[in-house]
Amino acid sequence: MKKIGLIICVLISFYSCRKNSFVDPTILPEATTSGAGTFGCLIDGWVYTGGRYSDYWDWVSAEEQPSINFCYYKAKDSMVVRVKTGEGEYLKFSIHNIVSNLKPQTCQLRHARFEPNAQASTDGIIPLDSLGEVYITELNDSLHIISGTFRGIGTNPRIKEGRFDVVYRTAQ
Amino acid sequence: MMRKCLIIILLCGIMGGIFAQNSTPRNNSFLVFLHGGYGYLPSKTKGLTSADNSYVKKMSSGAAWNAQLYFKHKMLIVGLMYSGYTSKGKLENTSDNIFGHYIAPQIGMHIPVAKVFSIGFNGGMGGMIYRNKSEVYQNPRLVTGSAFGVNLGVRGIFNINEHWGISAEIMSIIATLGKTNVNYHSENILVRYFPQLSMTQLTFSLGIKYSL
Repeated sequence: MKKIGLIICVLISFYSCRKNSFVDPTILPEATTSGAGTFGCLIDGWVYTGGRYSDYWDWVSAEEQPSINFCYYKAKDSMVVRVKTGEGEYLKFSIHNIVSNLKPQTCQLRHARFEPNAQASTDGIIPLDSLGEVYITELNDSLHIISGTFRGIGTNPRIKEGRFDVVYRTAQ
Repeated sequence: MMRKCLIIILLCGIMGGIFAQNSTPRNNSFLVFLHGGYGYLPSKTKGLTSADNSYVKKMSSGAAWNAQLYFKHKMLIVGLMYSGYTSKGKLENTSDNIFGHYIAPQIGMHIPVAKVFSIGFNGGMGGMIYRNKSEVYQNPRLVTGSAFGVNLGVRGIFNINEHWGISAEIMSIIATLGKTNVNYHSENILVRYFPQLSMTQLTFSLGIKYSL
């Protein structure tokens, strides 16, 4: 019994360990279109990138959630974006009015914010730009690749120089 | 690594002292070289700076210099070398100011070929310190790292007189960077590179030689 408890503790500590970065997270990634799994932007002049932190372990699907998570909701023609940018810090926003297999296209970015949890939360939300623009340069429905650039719009947008090149998931 | 380097330096100093005491004065001397010239990083700076191809190419060329001190016994030379490299670059929203410092004990040969001409070889193992003081969209970013390196050099010396000479040298320093520490936005981030980043350096320099 003690051995099982020890193994469980070791497994939990393994998954909660923060990884060192293998790519410098203070350099914005190149704007590519190959599904390279990159994400980066400037917020208030500071570089934020994805891929540095491991996300939570989903016991239902028995897999680690990707640090850069793009999920496409076909029924709503929108993409929900969640990127882990720090310990207890997620950058989230949604992309609306996506037309399948059309490139390039300009879509709407909504409700950019920092949240402390992977799942939706009501506490600790730090709002960023409520509206923005996403310029999609690659959208491949068969390979599930989406690439593009994004920025906030308005009087003093906080998000600038955003770019992503990822393989997205789908949901109904 | 630093402790091993210090022990090697100490041993070289002791060996040099023995050479200086045990031989006739004409077989022994001190040699000092000071060189300055062009430094080149064949593997470029991708992974350390912005990935823009022309920028990476620009950052791989810079100024290099070195100072070498040797004890000479007949044709054998033993001593210490410090070598430095720097390059600067600026893009629209980022700038980088790279410095590399390498120090290593050396062993080699100093061979008189003719009355006014000599050739020299040296090689050694030591440590390199890498530093990049950069700015990203007007915010400061400091990258530091260290690496183990080996060097090989060859030079030709034109002897002006008994003491002074002009030296032309080609040097290669081979080192790889496994990790760096990035200080940015009030945070220290350890970045590991797999495979390791090459910090190999080639220098072509001119300088002076002084012998005692």
